[in-house]
Amino acid sequence: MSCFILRRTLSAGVVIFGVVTVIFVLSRLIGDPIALMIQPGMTVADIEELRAIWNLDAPIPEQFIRFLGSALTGDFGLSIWQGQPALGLVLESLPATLLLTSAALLGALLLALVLGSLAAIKRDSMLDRTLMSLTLFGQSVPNFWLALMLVLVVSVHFHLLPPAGYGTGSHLVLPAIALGLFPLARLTRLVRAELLDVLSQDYIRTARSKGIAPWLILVRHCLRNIAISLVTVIAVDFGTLMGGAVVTETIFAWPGMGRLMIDAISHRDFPIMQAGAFVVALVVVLTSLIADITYAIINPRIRYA
Amino acid sequence: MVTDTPLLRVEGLRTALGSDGNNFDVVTGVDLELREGETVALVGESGSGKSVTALSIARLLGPRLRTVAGKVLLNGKDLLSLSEKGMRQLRGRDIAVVFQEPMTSLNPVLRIGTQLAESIRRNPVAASSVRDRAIALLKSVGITNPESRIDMYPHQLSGGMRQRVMVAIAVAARPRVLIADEPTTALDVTTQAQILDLMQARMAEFGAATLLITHDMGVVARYAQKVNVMYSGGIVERSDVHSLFAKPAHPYTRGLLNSMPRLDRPRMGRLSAIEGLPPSVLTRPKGCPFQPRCAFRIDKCSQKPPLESIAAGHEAACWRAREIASLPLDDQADAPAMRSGS
Repeated sequence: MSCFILRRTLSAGVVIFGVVTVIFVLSRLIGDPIALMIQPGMTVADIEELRAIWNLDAPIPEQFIRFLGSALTGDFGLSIWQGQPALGLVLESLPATLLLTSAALLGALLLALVLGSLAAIKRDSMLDRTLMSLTLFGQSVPNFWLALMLVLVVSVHFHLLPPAGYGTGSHLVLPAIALGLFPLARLTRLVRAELLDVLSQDYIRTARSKGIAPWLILVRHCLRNIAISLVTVIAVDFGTLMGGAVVTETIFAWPGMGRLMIDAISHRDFPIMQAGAFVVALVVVLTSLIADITYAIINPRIRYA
Repeated sequence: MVTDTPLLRVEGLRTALGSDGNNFDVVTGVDLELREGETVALVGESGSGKSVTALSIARLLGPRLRTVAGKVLLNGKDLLSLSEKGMRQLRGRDIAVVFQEPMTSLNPVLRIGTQLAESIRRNPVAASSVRDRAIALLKSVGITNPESRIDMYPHQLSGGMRQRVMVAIAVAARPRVLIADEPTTALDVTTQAQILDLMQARMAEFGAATLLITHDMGVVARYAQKVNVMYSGGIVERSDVHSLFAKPAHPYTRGLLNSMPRLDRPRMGRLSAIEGLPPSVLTRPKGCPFQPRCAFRIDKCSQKPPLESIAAGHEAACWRAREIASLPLDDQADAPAMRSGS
């Protein structure tokens, strides 16, 4: 196990280094942040001085080496636009994003387990067909459109929930639905397909031959077996959702990383972009590590050497 | 222990493949009787419908198979007319099954103890004693060191061990009828005998009846009192073990016995096999289903022979049953005929 953790840590390091490098290069392709700060009456010397503050006057390779050096100590520099430590700003907005993505994913998972099980048990029934059509819809609807429609119908027309903002549980509902519909549809199909496969296994027939209750067969004998593939998909979805949250957060004025990153990009705020990419990469790598450990707990046949 | 009224009685059981519109009968009308304390064998080749018969009795058929006619009377109660819930209450306690494949019949993600406890709890039992009962059961099916094995997962056990666990699961709730569907086919020969011996011993303890499904005539001779020979979905011969082995009356039974290596006969070169393959449910011949492979075929075989009594306790479905039963069982006698048969 310790060898496994060491290997995973090393590969995580490589992944994070790659992400940080790519974002460093890309951020320098979008333009010059100093150009946005120039005010009437500034001299060339003033502008050069501004550049020097963020090291932007040095050659790009030198900037990169310096950036890596300080990043290793956890220092991603000061935000060009807000003047505060970039990593601090990112970490401040991380909980809001994690709350939104977790709520979306958890809600999607619980509902998918129920709907997917129903569809599999009542295979080829009207219910099954209706649910499968709905999942097709759920997977095809763009989430920004869904978010706008939710605001329009639920908030503007019926005044049921706040259209935007952060703080209470009711603020969480609409963004979580907008973000969670896609994984809900995907997971429902997955639960159904996996369950149909498991239900035809010999060990389910054995369980039935014992005369135990159907819900016990479903929960104990089936769900544990499909949990393995569910964990894989959820781990991948979690990363995708953190990306998808950018749009959702912008629409609902959710003070998370997505909005911070959009603002950073429009201000060409390199340090925030770099710190943000680093944190997202870290979260994704950690998620997949947790998924691997979860496999071993669920499936006794997997033992990492 | 053997009484007169049958514990389990199957009448005219028909199980078909496919949806309502076009049915193909896999089991074409089977009658069986099982008395308390008795072991009845159901023998036949792969594809003869033995397992489907067994699963029909326990109502554990897969989605594509459906029992379309017949009765399964357990103590006079028709299982086929019960609701799914009513049937579920009988499973485990009144009727239990040992399946063929020990490798896939246990849930890979649950501990042995958990899977065993599910059966133990079918009868009222104090929660604190479930584990002790499970350990005792594992011990009774010959698993050494049950205290530690109880916490293992199926993949940590060998095939033989897993089948012992399957037997323990099946007998845990003291069923009155045990259906053993080729319980030892997947195991090596030395393990086979051990498993069958202990299955018999457990069932004898509480006077239950066993329906033993197998294709192994050796197993039949050693463990069963009565035999039903199945071919192409129907019973072709039914008898007590002694007369079946001494005077087989159906050409198919003869073929099965002749294809067995025997130590009590002189060696005669090649073992004789039954030529050809059993018909599929889609291409079953008219009349006697065995006639395309039969060495004793006559014109009358284009009509299906009924299962008729030819001696006390001995029935066969063949127009020439009496004549065939009187022939000596000997490779040479019908071997040339068998060969020219197809």
